Amino acid sequence: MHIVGIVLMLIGVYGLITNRHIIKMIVSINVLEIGLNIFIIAVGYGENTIAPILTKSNINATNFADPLPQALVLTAIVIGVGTTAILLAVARKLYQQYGTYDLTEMEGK
Amino acid sequence: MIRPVLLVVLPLLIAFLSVMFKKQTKPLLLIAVLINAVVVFVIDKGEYIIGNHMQPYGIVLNVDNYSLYALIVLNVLFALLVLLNLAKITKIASILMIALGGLNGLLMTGDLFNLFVFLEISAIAAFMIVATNKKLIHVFNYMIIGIVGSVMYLFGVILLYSQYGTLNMNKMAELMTTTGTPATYIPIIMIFGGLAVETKLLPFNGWVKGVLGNSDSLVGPMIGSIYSGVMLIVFGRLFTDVFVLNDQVRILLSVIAIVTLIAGEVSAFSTMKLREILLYSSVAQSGLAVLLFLNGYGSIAVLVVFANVLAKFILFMLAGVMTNSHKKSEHTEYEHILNNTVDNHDDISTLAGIFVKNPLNGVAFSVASLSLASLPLFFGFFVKINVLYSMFLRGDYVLPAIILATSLVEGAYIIRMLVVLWNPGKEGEKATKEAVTSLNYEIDQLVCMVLLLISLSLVALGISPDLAIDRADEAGADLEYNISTEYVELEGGKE
Repeated sequence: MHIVGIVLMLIGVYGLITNRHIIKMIVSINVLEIGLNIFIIAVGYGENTIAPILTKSNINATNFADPLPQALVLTAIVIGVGTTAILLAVARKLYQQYGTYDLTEMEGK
Repeated sequence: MIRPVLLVVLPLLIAFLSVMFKKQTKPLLLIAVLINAVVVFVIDKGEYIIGNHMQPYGIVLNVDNYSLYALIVLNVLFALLVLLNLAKITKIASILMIALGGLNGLLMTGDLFNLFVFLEISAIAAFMIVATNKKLIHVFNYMIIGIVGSVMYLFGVILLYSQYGTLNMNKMAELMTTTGTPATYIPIIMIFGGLAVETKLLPFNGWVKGVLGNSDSLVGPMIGSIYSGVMLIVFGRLFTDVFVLNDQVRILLSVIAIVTLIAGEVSAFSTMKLREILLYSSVAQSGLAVLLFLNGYGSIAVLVVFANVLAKFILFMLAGVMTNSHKKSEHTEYEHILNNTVDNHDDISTLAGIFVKNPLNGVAFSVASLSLASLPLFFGFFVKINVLYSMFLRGDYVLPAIILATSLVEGAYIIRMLVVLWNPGKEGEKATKEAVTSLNYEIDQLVCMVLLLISLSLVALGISPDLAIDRADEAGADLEYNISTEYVELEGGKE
């Protein structure tokens, strides 16, 4: 699962480097963030571990997965949604101003 | 005494209240910044554990001398900035409160993930503040670079967590007592990259020219002075108190700081635009501060950061006002404001002699510039001489040579800029009134006086630096790997 996260992050970076279309850049940022979130979840995962939720049936269990990365990911997702919302708002304003989503065309105007 | 968490909670709470009481946002903003500016002087020092969860499981706020002095400077300057720009703060009052809460949290937090949360809060607020300049392409670029930086930081933090099993800075510093394996340094380099965005280090400072090059009297001091200073102090905390670097990594990161320092000074020298000179100088000063932190000169780096923050506060604010100058013949009084027809006069040749018309602003601007150029009598000189003294004491001669060379370049472009702004006309010819620029700008007398007072503090600290020395010593004592503890205090050398 670590590998999946890292590959997604690399795809996100590749998208950011190669695109000048701002919506595609925002999508790339999201792919990058999702890759990181998967990587964080992978850090908390372990072989033969169970979900870190205490119930009557597992009250004496000691093989819980690390819950901290899951808590961190929740926060990271919320922050990611916030930044994406602002990015999309700026993208919309840019489109209203320039009539295009292409950064190269905007800089030429 | 008051708990430090209030510095974060109060502005955030009032920010949410201001959304409900939209017509009262300005008074609420004033209340928030003024309360914070007072509260910061009476907060408890020490560790404050949120929710009483046992360390290292809970989030801890750490107020030692290092963070306390930074908090005082931050909250006082933030309050001043809001007061001086109150007339133009219309839609972003709530955002400014969120920024204040985020920046206070950054300085106090003792948890690496909590630091990420505050980084994001303050970064999102910064994006919105910068967007007031309407240069949305630059805002978009800033956001993209900022978000990539945050991802790098978080990636580094998670890698460290997977190795050490904690996010608590104190605990991590305990576990990281000796130099580690290459696997330890990859996350540290990622964290360095993440912080490099806001500390304006190469190659992550591509946003600076677009953002600060179009800044006004609010955005310039906010991003170029306050944000920059806070991020450098956070950088110092992590790299002089928590992480242990081996020689190879220290040299690698130092090279990046040196390249930033040199590139910043050379770029500032090669431009004739006022705000570009200041922003490149800001980049160079960040490079210098990071270089000092990385090499263990913690107390001296704190002095560099504070001297730069004070000087840049004055310079960016006056530059923001001056570059929005207008010709009286072009626009009737205040018409340019009503019609939003202000032209940006950024080239210093178009502003030639503008200080002849506005001598009080000229004095404040000149004092801040000369302090930045490290001329004797000013605080900047005292700071720079101590940078060199500390390095010589340690037998280091390469870094002082680089710093001296870049200081010469810095002095050259600052003197060139001041000569043009004070003395109109061509070189070698007598300055005449006719040669003075026809541009004018409006500035409130209160702003003039406050900036003049801050600039006089740079002179006072330059003549009598004891206060600064004591504070720097106390701040440095809280940094685990600080090595700079001796200072040149008196004229003519050390006693």
